Amino acid sequence: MISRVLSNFLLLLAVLYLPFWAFVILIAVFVFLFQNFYEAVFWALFVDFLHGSQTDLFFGFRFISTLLVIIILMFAELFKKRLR
Amino acid sequence: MRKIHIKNIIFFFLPALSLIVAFHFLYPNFFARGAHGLYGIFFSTSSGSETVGFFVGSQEEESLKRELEEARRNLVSWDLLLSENRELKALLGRGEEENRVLATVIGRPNASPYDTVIIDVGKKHGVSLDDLIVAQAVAIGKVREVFDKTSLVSLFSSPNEEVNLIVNPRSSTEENDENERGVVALSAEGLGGGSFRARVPEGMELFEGDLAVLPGLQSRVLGVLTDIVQLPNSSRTVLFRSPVNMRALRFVEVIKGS
Repeated sequence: MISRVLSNFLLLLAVLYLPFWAFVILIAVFVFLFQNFYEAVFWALFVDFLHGSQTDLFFGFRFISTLLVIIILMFAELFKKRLR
Repeated sequence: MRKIHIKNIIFFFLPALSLIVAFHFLYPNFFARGAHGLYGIFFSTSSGSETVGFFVGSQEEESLKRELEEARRNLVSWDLLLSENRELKALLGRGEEENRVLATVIGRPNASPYDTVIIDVGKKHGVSLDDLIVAQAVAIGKVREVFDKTSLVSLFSSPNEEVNLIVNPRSSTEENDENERGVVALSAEGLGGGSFRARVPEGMELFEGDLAVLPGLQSRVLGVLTDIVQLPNSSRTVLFRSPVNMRALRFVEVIKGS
């Protein structure tokens, strides 16, 4: 439980201070380490609300980080089941 | 196993995806205000740091010193030309009466996939939508969204972003001494990381080092021509690069009402 809280704190620091690639790597690691790490979606939403803008980039879609994290979660769940 | 998987999809992934779609179309800015408020708490003052390379070779160091010396020599006449330019504009009734606000960069472009910058000034400081952002006299972007104490800036060099520019031939280039060249108006596309690309019609002469500026009386620099690419069966493409390193931005200026 404590490690899960700590990992969420680490993700908060990643959102505030680290580059986006580091945030994605951390998410991928925690998704594999913890069971149903759905908090990742919350942090991705936080990134999108902070930096997202309806620009021409990604065809005006401003929730690209959230979508990416959901995809990581889905694949991680599938992958973990195959590993068991 | 399969039951758990289907349950996961039904109870988490589908609602999550529909939530994103709903936010995107119905309330794109619903939580953005709150998120920016929270972000402001962590970044009330500047926390930028400059990276210094420890492993610069002696040859590179010498070359950098030479470049610095050359830049210093060129700067000698800069102040004189600037004041002359301002006086002339004032005489002609087009003096600079810009209202500027200094801002600290609290969110850099590499913090998200959107290539946007967050600055610590907002509505309370008089910032409004589409205000121009400059860094060291170089135009870098426009205000895209304004919150109470912060603003979101989209960069001109963001991928897919289009910007109209004018290429001014550098007077110091040897080519220019031989043949007088006029200004060239182009439409450039952002490539990310402070770079732009523009297609140039045949017959237009451009050279490395030419300056790209925003159209307007103030001639704000956007980038410097770094490369000319000629692909077979294609028109010429020129690449520009902003003199400002977007990832090392610390302070910018917001030109209000621009």
